[in-house]
Amino acid sequence: MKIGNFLNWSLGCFILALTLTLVSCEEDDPCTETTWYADTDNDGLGDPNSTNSACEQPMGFVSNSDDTDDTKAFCEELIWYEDLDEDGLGNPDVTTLDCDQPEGFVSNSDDDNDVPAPANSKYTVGASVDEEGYYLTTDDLLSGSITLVGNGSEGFAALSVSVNGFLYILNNTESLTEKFELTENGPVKVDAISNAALTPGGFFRYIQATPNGDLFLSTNPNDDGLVPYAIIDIETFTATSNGFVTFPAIGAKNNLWVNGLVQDNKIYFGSIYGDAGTWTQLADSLITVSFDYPSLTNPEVMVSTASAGMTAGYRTNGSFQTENGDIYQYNMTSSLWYGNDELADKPSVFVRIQDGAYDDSYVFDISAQFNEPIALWNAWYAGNGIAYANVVRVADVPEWGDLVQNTGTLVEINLMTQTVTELNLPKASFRDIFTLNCIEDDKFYIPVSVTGGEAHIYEITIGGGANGFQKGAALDGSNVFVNALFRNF
Amino acid sequence: MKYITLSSIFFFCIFHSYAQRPYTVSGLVKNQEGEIIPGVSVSIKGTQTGTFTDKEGNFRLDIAGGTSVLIFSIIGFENLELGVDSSLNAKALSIELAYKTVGLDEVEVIAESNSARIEKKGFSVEAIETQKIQAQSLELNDVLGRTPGVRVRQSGGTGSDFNYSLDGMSGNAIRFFIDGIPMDYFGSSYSINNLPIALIERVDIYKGVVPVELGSDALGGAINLVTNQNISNFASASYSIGSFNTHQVSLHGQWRFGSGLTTRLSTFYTYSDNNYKVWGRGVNYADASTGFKAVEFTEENPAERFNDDFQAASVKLDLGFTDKNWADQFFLTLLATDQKRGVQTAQTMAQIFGEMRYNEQVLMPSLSYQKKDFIIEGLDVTAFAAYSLTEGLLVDTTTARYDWRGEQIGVNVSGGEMGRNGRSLYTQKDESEIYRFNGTYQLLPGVKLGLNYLFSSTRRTGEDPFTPTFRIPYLEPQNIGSHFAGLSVETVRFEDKLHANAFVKYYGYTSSINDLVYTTEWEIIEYKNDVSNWGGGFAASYRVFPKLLVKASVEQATRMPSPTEALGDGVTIINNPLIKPEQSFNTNVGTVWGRYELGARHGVKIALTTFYRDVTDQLLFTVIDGQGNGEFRNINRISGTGAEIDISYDYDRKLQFNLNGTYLDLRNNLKVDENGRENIVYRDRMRNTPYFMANAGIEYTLTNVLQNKSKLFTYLNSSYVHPFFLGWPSLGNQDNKNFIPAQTVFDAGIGYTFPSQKFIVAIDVSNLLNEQVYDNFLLQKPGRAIFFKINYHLK
Repeated sequence: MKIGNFLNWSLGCFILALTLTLVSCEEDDPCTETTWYADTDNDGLGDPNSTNSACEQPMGFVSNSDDTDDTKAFCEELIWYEDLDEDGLGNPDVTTLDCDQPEGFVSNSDDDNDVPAPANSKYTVGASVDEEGYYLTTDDLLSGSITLVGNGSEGFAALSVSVNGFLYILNNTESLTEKFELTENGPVKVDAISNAALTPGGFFRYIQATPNGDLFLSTNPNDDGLVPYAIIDIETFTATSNGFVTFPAIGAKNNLWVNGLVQDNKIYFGSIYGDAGTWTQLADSLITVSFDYPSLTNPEVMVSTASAGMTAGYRTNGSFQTENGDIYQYNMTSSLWYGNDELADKPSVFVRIQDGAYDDSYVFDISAQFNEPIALWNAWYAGNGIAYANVVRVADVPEWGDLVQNTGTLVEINLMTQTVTELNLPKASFRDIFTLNCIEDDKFYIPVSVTGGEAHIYEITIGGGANGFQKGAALDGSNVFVNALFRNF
Repeated sequence: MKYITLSSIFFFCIFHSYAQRPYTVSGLVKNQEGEIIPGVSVSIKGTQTGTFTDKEGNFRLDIAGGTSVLIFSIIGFENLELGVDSSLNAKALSIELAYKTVGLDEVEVIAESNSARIEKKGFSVEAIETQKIQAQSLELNDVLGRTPGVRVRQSGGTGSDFNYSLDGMSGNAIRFFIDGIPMDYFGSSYSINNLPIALIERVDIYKGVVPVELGSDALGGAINLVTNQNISNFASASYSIGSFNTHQVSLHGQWRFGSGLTTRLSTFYTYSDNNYKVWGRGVNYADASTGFKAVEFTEENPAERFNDDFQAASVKLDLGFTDKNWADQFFLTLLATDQKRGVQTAQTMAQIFGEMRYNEQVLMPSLSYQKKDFIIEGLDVTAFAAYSLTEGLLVDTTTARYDWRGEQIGVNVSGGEMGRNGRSLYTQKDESEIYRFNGTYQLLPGVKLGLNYLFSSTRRTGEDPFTPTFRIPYLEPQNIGSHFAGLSVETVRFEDKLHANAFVKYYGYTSSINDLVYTTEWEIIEYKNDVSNWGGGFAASYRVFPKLLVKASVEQATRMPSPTEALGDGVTIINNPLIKPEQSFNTNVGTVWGRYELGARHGVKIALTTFYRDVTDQLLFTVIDGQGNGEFRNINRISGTGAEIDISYDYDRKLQFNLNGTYLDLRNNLKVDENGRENIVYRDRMRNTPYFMANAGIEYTLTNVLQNKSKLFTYLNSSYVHPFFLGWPSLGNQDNKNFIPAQTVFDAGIGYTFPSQKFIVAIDVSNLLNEQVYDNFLLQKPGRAIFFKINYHLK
């Protein structure tokens, strides 16, 4: 069996070899030449512009012409996003393709503000000193000290927003919305819009940058329930719309205070309804009113019976949007705020708005996490479902002025797992923080000003729990209260 | 040529053997028209002993004995020498001084004026005689602003708000008086920025330490306007017309019947459009055509103030008796004033009102009584009682909105330009009572006791058909009352070289202030407050050499909150139920050197003053929102020093040159606040406070110009204020801080007195170089303005 097979194989081979020999001898030298393509980069792909004809494949050449760039070896090309401001986040609008990461580019497109930061202008810190406003910019929140002595500008930056390298400040003293360019020499005023021409009295309480590329300015309603507003186009820095937002009355109750949040061409106004003259007969539910944006038409009243009280927030917005587009909102119950205790027994809660309506399945009762009455005075969203809030124990604050004593506790609120963790930070006053928008690399930064003690910026690891923080740069403290902290770049 | 008249009752110079007995010479000094002359120096020839005639022209001089020669001297009159001896003891002399006719070869020592007399009392004081400038169409504010240590900050043109600072103290710490009566209750028409100069004879400016007779709780200083107290008959009228459609008419007269029945009338009317040009930061417009971008007006294309018209009318009628044996003066007085004005801006020009108006009426009946040697010899008393009703109306009802073009730019459906709280038609009614008693008693030769008591109370109510909740407390009555009592001992020693004055003061303050509290409904809670305080001080001057006077004063003073500080104004100032009185410790040290003669024609006088202030619980307006609303709060703590120098040079008594400068070093001296917080601006220079200012002026008087016996008076003044920061100097980058820019302003004028002395015509130009000037942040003052004035005076 084995011998038979071997013979068969040998015979076959012999015949094959003989045939080949006969064929080659028949045509002598001539052969069929084919075009070969240079493959200088040895990636197996040939350069269509560099060819060689030969019968045999020459060394360094291949038969295909698929190489678009024969100077470097083929790889899988990726999209890279420019990162001018070197914050590790890429600009979705400026891209390049490359196998490897080019310098100045990153793989993510998460930066909505990729403007290179001039020196010393990365963050804005605003402060009040005995009723006077000051602000400064800095690159370093973690070390050294941040001082107003001989440094910074006059005026309140507490009501301001930073967009693409420009700072927009509500200057209510001069009834202007001022535009400042952030330069290495500090903010330099480049333009101004007259708020006096936009609204009677020229006063706005809130300013925010919306996803529509504009600034939305508003203040609380006048005695007729009308909410003064203005919309400023950021690109042209001109006011495109101004006037009053007319809120529907609910029974005999009028809207007393608002702040809005723009999402998907809608604006959601947190509010409080009651009797405008006396701030009594307050609504016994949470109320949000949505309008089309920017037309500010089609009001729709949304009601949640989870609790009652103002959903507009006090200094900062009472509503915020998480990464998946859900809106979370908290309420204020403090009798110090209303001047009466109609809502003192109502719990402080977080509720959720989904697809333009209260999601009644979500109510996070913050009060239930404490064994004594509390009130929320400002809360800020940090990302990953985590918000930080200023919790004040009602027993600690019999009077309004007590809110500027060391009566504020900073807590971490996980909106997803519905847990509250008290941070082991010094107790301080957080009531008068007007703007707090400083999140970077999963860190949340907040000024902590201990009345009669030290003041520092703290860096909080988002979701890091009770001790997930470190003390950062020292602030002036004493009668300098840092009332605004936000990122410019 | 000397022209001396002695029209005395009787006069002989007889030598008696018992001449060495001390005796007293007294009398009355008048001019050729029979008008009394206050402030005449009466000195004993060859000695440093002397006195001055008081404001009624009376003098009284103790003489050791023997025969002496009295020298009567005062600027503008010929000196008079009069021999006296003990035969004139207790006789009333009547002295008439002749006007001086100036001859080129005559140079005399300029007699001590009222100002010198007052300076000698030891207080830090400036006295401004208005005679020379009577003819000019100047505002009192402008005149006083040229005085060392004085800074007047005005928010605009004619009739606008003003704020005095004296050696760094300002606001209500400075009190105003007219003939010793606090002016607070006379209303805003009859005030220092409105009164025509013609009605005022002299202004005394006390810096820091205030004497008891200005019985009040001033702690930064006091300004006393002294009116003409002549009892002779006269009538005067003046009219001035000038830029910005400004007119001022004043009539002033007195008629005394033989019976002693005396009537006086002083009345004035002022009108101005105040439509001066403004531009720059804060003065802008915007509309849809500019994308609402703020477009600033420029110097080439300025805006014009359009709702700033001002008119004030005031009538003061006195009816009473003078020179009776039961009263030197007894008057029933009725003061009525009416003011109407546009309100153009809020705290800065950045907020503009197009239709807002303020009207105010005051009706004030009063009684006054003066008697020298009341019951017993040497006891001089004055008494004053008044009731004052003030009604202020703020009209802010328009729905229109305006910008600096003066155009309506839109509608505010809620109405009202001032706030967001809708329209307002707010009437504030103050009912006040003032009682003052002042007595001095010559206890011993050279020792005088003084007592001053002042009570004032105000009841404030409000009315508004559009009542927002916040105003409820202002509608119900709120009350404030204050007592002041002061006792002083004044002594003159060492042949008039030493003047000393020691005093104690008592302050009492009561208030009932409404606060709005919600329990089950809005309720008014009355806060009652009752505070009393003691203070005291000492003032002395010593003439070290004939030409060198050294003086010093020290005081611990209290100031009670004013009605507006405590009760608010119901509009932009909220009440403060917990407000406390302000306390201050003041010292002043000064020297006056001169007038020193340099050769025959030149004279120089130099005054130097330094001072220290330490103020606790200062009552300061604190803005509490973005719209400039605020309340008065007690602010700790300010202290510091300062110095001022005043140099005057005269040539030939025709040309006078003045230079003065003031430097203040007042600092925030609060180290730790009431919350236990360190103060970051501890030791900072006071914000929004001028700290270096200087004035220079030149005056020239010519006689016999064009006509014999005529007089031509010209002046050129310049004032400089160094720039100062609006906020705390140490905070923020120095390059981009808000500041009130330096201002250098020149004013000039010329006045011509006709030979009859009845007619005077004058032209004045203020802000000659038409500079853009500011006293306050973003509140531009008027540019160049020209005024023409005519005066007629009939005796």
